[in-house]
Amino acid sequence: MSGNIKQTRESKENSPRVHTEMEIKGSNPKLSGDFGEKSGVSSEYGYYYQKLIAAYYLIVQEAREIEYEADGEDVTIINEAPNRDSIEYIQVKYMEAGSFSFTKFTTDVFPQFWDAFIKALEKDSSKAIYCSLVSNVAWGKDLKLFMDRCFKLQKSGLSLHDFDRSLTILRRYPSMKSGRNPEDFRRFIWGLNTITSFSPDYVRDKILKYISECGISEPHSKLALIINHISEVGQGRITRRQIEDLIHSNLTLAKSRLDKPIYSSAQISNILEGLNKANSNYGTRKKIPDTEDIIRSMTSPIEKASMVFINSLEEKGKTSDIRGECIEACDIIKSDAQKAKEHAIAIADLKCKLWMHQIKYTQRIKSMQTTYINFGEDK
Amino acid sequence: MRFELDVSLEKPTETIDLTFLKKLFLNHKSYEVLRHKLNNYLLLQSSGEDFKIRIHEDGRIYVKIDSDIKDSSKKVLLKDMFQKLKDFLKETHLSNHHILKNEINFSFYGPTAHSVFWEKYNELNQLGDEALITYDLRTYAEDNDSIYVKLASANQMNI
Repeated sequence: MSGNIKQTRESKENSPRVHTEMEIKGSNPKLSGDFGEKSGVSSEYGYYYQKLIAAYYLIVQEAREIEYEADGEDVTIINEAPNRDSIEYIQVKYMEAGSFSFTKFTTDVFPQFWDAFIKALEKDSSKAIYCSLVSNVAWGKDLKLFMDRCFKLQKSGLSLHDFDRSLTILRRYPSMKSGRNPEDFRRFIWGLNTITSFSPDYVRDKILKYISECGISEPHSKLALIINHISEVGQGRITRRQIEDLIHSNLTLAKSRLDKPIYSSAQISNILEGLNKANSNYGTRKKIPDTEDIIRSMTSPIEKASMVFINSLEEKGKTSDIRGECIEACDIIKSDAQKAKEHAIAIADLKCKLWMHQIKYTQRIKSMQTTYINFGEDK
Repeated sequence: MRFELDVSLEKPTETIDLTFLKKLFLNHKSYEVLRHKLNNYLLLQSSGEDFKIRIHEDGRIYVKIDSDIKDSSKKVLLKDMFQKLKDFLKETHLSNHHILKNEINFSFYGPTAHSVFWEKYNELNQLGDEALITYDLRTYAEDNDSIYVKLASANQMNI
């Protein structure tokens, strides 16, 4: 069995209804080995996992509409958001055991993602395009490194240069990039996301919790109905509205869940105190470090030691039987002294850079506190 | 959508005299003083335009624009925002008294923040080429509704 789900999102300006495009693609079970070659029980569970993820995106992620085509045991979901002007391709991979390797990612996942990404880019280059890999198992060491770098590229300011440099240890990474437009490749990895160790029980619990928070009774039987419906559709469009009609309830979170919390004065005081503590631990009020002074403090003991050691060794090495060792020892000491000085300069530079970040961290905290505390006061 | 450009002074211990700036812009033909928070910031409105400028005492300067117009991202040009900054720095002579840190930061806020980033990607690089020559482009995207883009260079900013 294979699965294709298409979910189309149209701009709210063009249509009063919002449609969400999700595509679940599958592959021939004879070709894939994740669970198709295993027992009938594990295959069935793999298919169940696919439908569970589809239900998760429809219900918890609030996708408005999907188009589903079951075709194999591997699943890809396309989630397109009109108001967000973005599109997300999601591949769902169920494994009985083990971890998901980088090799498996490059052979079984990346080619499909890349094709979908390029097609989306050609259709509309202004969209944000994401590719998300969802699996019940953890990532292998190399895949974890790769995904961690992708995460940092988007969210934590990692530069593309540092991204490339940190992945030189991955044997298959150069072949991923080879022959592809560098800018397109950069954009692709920027949009790469993952959900790992997303166990069926955990997904099910999240769906059941959402349904319960909508005030809907018997969430387990409702979910069973939904999963059954996805199976029966086999190929075609499934909307969130259809799901609501099926379970005779609106999937609308209870008002209390949507309300923003109101904080008491005591809670605000605690928050302000928390900021003070963070500032005390990680910020600074000190003056800018004197790098020359730091370098001097670090290198002068080394220079003195180097001079004294070498003089002393040369004195001891005057006898011919240890002359060779004396020369070697002096060379080592000179080389070590030189390298220690190099590191001292780097340390002084880093201390200065650290100070710059610490002082700015302190300033930002002070700015937050001042802006909040002085709010509404006329000046 | 909200678009913000921010720069800061190179020396973090330097400050900007907001009281002096406020006096400069009272009854000014190009700017209106919207708010002054003592020891914090001064907020100005660019007369007849949608741009606001916020100057912090600790040396940060923000140029920002809110836009609810359909396809607003296509109408807001990042180079216009940068020009606004340059005009402001010239008007206030701030660049005569202070050196700016060699980085330009942009923030986009709104449900289409990430797609706006990619729409503006080429503009960002053009601005980086013009102002910084050699630079790294880095992103900090905490959620789908905002993204912070840093263009940072080792060279002095060309402003």
